[in-house]
This record gives sequence, structure tokens and C-alpha cells, in this order.
Amino acid sequence: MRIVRHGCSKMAETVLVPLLVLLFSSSAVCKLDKNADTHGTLQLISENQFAEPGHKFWIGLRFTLEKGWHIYWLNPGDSGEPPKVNWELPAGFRAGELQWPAPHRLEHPPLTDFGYEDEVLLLAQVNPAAGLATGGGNTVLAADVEWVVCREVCIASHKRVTLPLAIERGAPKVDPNWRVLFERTRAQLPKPAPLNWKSTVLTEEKDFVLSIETGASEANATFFPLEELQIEDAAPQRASSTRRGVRLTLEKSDQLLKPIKNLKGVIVLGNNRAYLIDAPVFHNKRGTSS
Amino acid sequence: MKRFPSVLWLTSILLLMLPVAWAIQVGSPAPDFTATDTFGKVHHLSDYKGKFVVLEWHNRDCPWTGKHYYSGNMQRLQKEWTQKGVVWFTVISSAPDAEGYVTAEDENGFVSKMDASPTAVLLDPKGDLGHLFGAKTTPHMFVIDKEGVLIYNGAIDDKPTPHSADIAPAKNYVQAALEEAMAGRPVSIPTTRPYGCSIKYAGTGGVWPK
Repeated sequence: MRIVRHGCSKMAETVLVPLLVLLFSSSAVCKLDKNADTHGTLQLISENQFAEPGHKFWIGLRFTLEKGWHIYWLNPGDSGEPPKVNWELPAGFRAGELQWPAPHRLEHPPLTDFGYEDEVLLLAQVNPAAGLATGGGNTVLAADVEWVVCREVCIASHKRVTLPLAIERGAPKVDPNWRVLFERTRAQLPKPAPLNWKSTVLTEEKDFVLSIETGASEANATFFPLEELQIEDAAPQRASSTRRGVRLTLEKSDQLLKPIKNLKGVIVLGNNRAYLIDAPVFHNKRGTSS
Repeated sequence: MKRFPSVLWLTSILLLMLPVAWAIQVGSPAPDFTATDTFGKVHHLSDYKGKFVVLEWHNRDCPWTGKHYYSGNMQRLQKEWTQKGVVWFTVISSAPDAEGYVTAEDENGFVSKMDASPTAVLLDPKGDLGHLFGAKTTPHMFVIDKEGVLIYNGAIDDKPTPHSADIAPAKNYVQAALEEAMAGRPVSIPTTRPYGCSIKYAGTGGVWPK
């Protein structure tokens, strides 16, 4: 597997390094990816041991992080930045949208971020064209990934990861090393909320009150907003069970200046059941959309 | 020992309550503050009525801050706007022992080496000023107008990456807010998500990793 490391790459060639050399010969000012594997590793892995023309399969970017370090979800919360992925796929291969498992609240008062610790797999489904030639040795799937890994400090990282894969015909063979990880990760992907669920938001002076009716009483819930600046990420979310679901009080963001029409995000219920919801927002009492 | 202590008590109690309890809203007066700069000079926001004031939260070791300093972008902004009469405060809220904490002397050296030209660098190791404004990241930017009203709260620009190559194509929100406000127009984008590193406040375990 070829791994290209780009240490401080973009800035290095232009202004950064000359300036640094000039000014801070030995200091730790440039915390860019001098070593992309610092505080964790990134791999590109495939669920199947080979690609079969015309049959979709899953690949994933596997981050394994040192204890205490984290990376960020699609909406990183109060600080940070989600990984950015540029696929470099051979002709005839197409990758679907990156799929993000439900995140966790990373609380470091007064701030709260949304992201992942320990290990996370960001998934993508790959579609190899039906007409691909087989048996020609390995082809190489690659991804150019930029991410930020943080503990109390943040390190900007950049790495190109590669995945050599044969193109063959026949029943797909799951890689035993990764079977469990792919299955577990798929189970953590937020599902679209079932059509019979009812999600609504009442707006109060300081809070949004999100009600979700799933049909059964829900003991707890955590909401992760997909839009920025709607709720105060660090504010505690107060959940109360209702007969047919759960009600969650979410503090409005200080930076929210205009009424919003929808609250969109991921709701994580008991047993880590994660769903995508898009709840219309109503003014309290009057029941009119704001 | 008559009135002063009780006022101080009340102030400290209020300050302790600040971190989550107080919201600072664009369109409302910015809270007055008292802060000391790297030369020991004490500044009050109220001293600068009649001038635009920019607050720039800073941590030189944060990659997103580095992006704007090692490219010269922040210095360019500071120079341009202080020349136009804007008061520009760089604020450092890192706790002692946390990333980005600096002594006054060290910071003065940095400012001169980097050819930065803020009006002053305010040292806020206890995080009082940061909490008062609800500052979250470095760089988190605030713009206050001549009447003392907060008119911008958010990111420096619309490219939340640590790469200097993203500066040129970015829309700079602070630049835009100052241009609009000085032309007597309302700020068209008054709030954005402030990107960057979390501020390493005291009491947040913001110590250097071993």
C-alpha cells in the first residue's frame, strides 16, 4: 500500500515554511500534518475481497484514534471541521455519498463538539460498472483525505490512502477482518424516520421543543443538528418521555437571528437507534409556522 | 469595607454565572469589559464609543489561526482597518499551561515578528472576556459599531479549513461587515459559525497532551 504524506503541503511550498524557518526555527507553530499518522491511523478498506462488475459493495475510511483524540462529524458543533474526502477511483468505478455514523457529543465545557473517538468508519457504496474487464490484476481505489484530529490541541492532517482490489466475477467474498466493523457501522447510520412518525418543533422564547412520536414511549433522546447556528450545541438537552414518544428541549443559539422553518438533524434514541428527522417549526400556542 | 466588597461579591457571582447563562446577541449593545493588554494598559470597551471595535480570539498554535497569520491575512486586515480608525483587539483566552497561553513579553515578540498591527493584545488567561462574549474558537471574530452595538459574531471567512490556499477565494465576513457598516448599511451576514480550534479556557482540561 502506497501512502503519500503531505507535510504542511499546500502552505509549505508557498509562504509557510520560508516564514517559519525565518521566524521560529524550532517552535511547534506549524501543527500541520508533518506526520499524518500522529494520534491515530487512517486506512481505506473494503468489505469485499474483490470487486464484481455490476455489483455494489461497501468501502470505508477507517480512523483509529489514540485515546483522548477525536475527529468530527458532518456538523462539527462548536469547533473543529469534518474530514474532507476526494475519491480517486479507476475508470468504471463510482462512489456514492459518504455515509456518517451517528456522532457522539464531545463535551469540553463551555463547548461541545459532535464527532467520534476511538474508532470510526466513514462508509461509501461503490458501484463498479457492469462492463468492467476481470482478471487483470489489482486496480487501485484511492482517497485524498484532509481531516483535523483534536484532543485539547488540533492537528490538521492530510493523507492519500489506497486500496488495491482485484476485479473478479463470482459471489462476493466478505473480508473476515472487516465483516463485523462494516456490519456494526451500517447499524449506526441514521435511517430515514419511518413515515408514521410525527416530528414537530414548538418555538419558545429561549428554546425549541422538539416532539417526536414514534408510537411508543422513549426513555431518552439526543439531537444532533445538521444546520449550524440553530441550537446552542453545548446546552444540555432535556428529554422527557411522552406516552407516544419523547419531547426534547433544545436551547436556541445565541447566533440565531431569524425564525427557522425546519429543524433538521439526527435523533439518537435508546439502544443507539439513529434517525434522520426534518421537523417543521411552529410558534408556540398559535400553531402557525414560523 | 463598606460598599465595595458587596459590589465585588455581586460581580464575581455574576461572572461565575456567565459562561452559559448570558447570551450576547447581534443587534444588542456589546457588554462593557475591562481588560489588560500586553503593555499593562487597561482598556474598557466604553472608552471606544464612537469607534468600530473588532475582537479577534487568538491562539497562535491553532492551525486555523496559523492559516491567517502565516499567510499574512490577519495582519493585512489589522493594518487596513486600524488605518481606517477601527480599534482591533486580539484576545488570548488560553489558560496558563494550555495551548496558546503566552506571557505579555512573548506575545509582544510575536506581534513584532509577525508584523501584526492590532491596536492591542488583551490577555485573558481567566477567560472572563471570552465567557462574556461567548467566544468559542480561534479565530472567533466580533465586530462592534460606533454606538457599541454588536454587529457581527462569527467566523473570519466562509472557508473553514486550515489551508492558506483557501484564503484568496474566501468571502471575508469581517471585511464585509466593516465595509457595510461604515457605508451606513446593515450587515448582510451578521452571524456565522465561528470555525477553528476550541478556546483553551481555564478549567476545561485544556492542557498540552503529553
